[in-house]
Amino acid sequence: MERTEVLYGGEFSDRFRQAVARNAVLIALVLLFAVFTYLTGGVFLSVRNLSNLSLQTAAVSIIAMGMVLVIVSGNIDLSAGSVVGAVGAATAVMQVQMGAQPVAAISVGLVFGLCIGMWHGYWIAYRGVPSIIVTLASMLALRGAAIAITQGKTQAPLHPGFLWIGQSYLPTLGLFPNDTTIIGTIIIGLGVLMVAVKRLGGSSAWTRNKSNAAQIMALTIMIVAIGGVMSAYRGMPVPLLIVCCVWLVLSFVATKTVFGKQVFAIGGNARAAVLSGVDVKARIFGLFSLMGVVTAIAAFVFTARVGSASASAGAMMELDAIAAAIIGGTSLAGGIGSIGGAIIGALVMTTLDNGMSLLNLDASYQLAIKALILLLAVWFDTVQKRRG
Amino acid sequence: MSVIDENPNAFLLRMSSISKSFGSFNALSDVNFDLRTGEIHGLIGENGAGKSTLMRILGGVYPASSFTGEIMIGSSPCQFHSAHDSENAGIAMIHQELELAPNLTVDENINLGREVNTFGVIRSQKNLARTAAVLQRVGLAVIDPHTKISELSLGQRQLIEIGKALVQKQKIIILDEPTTSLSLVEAENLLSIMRTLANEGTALIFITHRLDELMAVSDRITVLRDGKLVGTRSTDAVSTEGLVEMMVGRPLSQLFPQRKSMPGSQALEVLSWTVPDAKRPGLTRVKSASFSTRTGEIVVFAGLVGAGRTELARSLICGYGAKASAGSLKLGGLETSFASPKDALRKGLAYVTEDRKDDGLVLRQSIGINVTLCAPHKVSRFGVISQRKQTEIASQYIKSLNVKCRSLDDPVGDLSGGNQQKILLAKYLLLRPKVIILDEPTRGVDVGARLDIYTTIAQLAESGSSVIVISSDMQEVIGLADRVIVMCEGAITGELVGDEVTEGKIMELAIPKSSINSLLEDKNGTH
Repeated sequence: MERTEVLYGGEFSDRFRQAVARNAVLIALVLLFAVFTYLTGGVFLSVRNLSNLSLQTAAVSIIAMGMVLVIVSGNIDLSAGSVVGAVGAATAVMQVQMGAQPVAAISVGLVFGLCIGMWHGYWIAYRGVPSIIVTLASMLALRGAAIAITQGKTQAPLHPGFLWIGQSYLPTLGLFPNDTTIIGTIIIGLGVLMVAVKRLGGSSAWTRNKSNAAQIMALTIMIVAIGGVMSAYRGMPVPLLIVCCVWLVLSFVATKTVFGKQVFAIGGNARAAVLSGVDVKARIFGLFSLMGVVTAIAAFVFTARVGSASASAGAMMELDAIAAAIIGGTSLAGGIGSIGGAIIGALVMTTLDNGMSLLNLDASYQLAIKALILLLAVWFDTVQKRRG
Repeated sequence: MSVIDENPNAFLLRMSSISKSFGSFNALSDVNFDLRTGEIHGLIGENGAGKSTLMRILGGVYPASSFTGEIMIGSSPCQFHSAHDSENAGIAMIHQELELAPNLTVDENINLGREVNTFGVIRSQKNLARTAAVLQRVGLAVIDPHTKISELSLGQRQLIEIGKALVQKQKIIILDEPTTSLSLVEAENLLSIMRTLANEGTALIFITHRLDELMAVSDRITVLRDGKLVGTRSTDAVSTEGLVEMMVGRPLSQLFPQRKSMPGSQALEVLSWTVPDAKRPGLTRVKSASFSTRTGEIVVFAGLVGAGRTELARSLICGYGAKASAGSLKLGGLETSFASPKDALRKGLAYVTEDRKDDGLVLRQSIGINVTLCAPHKVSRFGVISQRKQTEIASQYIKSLNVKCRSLDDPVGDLSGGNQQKILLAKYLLLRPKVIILDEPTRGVDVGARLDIYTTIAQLAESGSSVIVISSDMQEVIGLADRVIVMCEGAITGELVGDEVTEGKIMELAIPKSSINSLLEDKNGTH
């Protein structure tokens, strides 16, 4: 292909179009918020519902963040929903039937998740079985395991300490209502601004780095907005805090570690990675082990929010997570993806669920509309890529 | 060119009596090869001569137990059991298909697998410093290390690959046809950087089909033929003709078939054809191009890479991302337009792509299937493919084009570049198009296969087809053409016939006027 040598200057309208394209998912999310607020007469945007929305999103967005790395490496994990079911069942049964403390149940759950992930990693990396098959097998087997562990019965009640993970809010100091959330929001908001000021230096650097500055402003506004909304209700929900922690850790892993960079390299060009001396097998093994742990964390959040474990818990969750990752900008071809995008993607999916439930829409319509959104999101992505 | 030291201690690498066979086929028999510190050593031969096999042995792809002979690095014998062993011994292989991750940045690619880190956390400043130093050495200091690889040109990517080898501090760098897909300027730049690296003490093995480049840059040249060593010569002591003779095994008086130009009636006529850029609205890739061709005539489109020749050809058959915004097209004297490449093919205009791997062939499918891919009606009845018919047709073309293969059922991907190109040609010959456009038909093709392809092109013209060839190879342009059309920056800048067809005239028309002026200024400045 003959290459264009002319560099792209960029008219304002072009730059505007590019900016829209880059933030398309975020814009879509704002539109969804607006539409549902209008249709529900404001109920959607109430602080109570927004707090609720964050609780609903938590488990899927945690899985979706792990899924981003898996898809970036050129693989897929279809087992996540069944892992949630099996790990949730195991932790619940320990509490309900053996009277285990939350810490013990969680430890066992984490090890269980890690073992499942290592099992996947072993077959995919060292035995060369495609990930779609390995995880499909686990999807079936672990659903069976969930039935066996729960003996087909709903396992409840769970230990209050365990329920705290999924149902409570940040504990307060008792100074004033939701004091910790408010103080935390102010500290983090200021912290981000200060780091930004230090990094970008003088005012000239801000104008030069307009997109950087805009990003930091957007991040600060988002932190203050989320903190504000949560303060106005019952404080920061614990699941949302866990999501933030997983986001920070996985973003760090993806962008600042050798492991993360090499996962992106494997997804971009596996042969190049091999020839550069990357131990691809070890990386894929590690990646699926990590995915097992991340999914186990999602299982705790989900099980604790529901308050019980059942054989069908988490069914179809893997598909929601995959959809969230892709809506959030992860390319199914591998090599491209962002952890933060997955949270936005998950939020789009749950917003649809939440909003349509508020409108009392029939379940059949809900599924069809979600399907359509997914289709459109991927189509939009394809069109953007073709334009380059 | 550096002075060749006859001191035996200066040998960095010595491969002695290397033999390797696949089944009953002897890929290499008793080949010797050596390399001195700081030299550029050319390795040439036709496809199948054993160059790749020899380099794969050196690269550890074929482990020590699978061949006989000895490899010495310095004064110590080496046994490579894997590509990793070879790498650790200081050998870097730069593959023809560039092995970079397009989704990552220059910095990330250069350091990939060797990131400076503390407990797995990347020290980005240290990595960046290393990248900057390497970019400086390969002449890419102007490139921002945060640029994504996908935004770089092929030539720049090639240099990044070399940069990677430098990070690894490799003493020997093997370059497998590095200039094949580069423009003239990029290729020259690469060659001069190779020279600099050699002067700094790195030894380079340079595999290429372009003898002029080899003559310009190498210190010594080794020629292989049919798995045997023909000889190693000092570059000063050989001529291009001599090398070709060594490669082919017989004097090659004429690379291009002698033919009389006998233009017939008008075949294709294009009038003020204008094509916008597919990705960037507002830019124009082809500017009001008008030309015509006749039956029995070979017209060559010359120009620099990026001149718009491929876009012109692709847009004619409706196979470019954007449609022509103006212009008309006559085929055999009748005004036509095409709805799709398939439609163009049906009406008698075929375009043979320059990118056989991505656009031309189904690499994993058999030779038979590939040859008949465009003409299912010729091998099937009621949608059912006749295996017998397919074999019959494919073997006919295999024979006439002199394709070297074991069986028609082999996947095309297993063939050498030259033979793949022949299969691609066969695919379109089967359809007997009135006008056929061949885009860089000999890119990455060895001398022997070139001869076959040129002969086929000549036969096509003789049989009354109108042949259009897009070529960046000067020798080819001059040797093949009845008429040369030169393009520059999207516009046709001139047409040359007969004695006018010279390298100087073509370049004069091909180089943008602005850059000629700046070249002149440079010259005046130095004097």
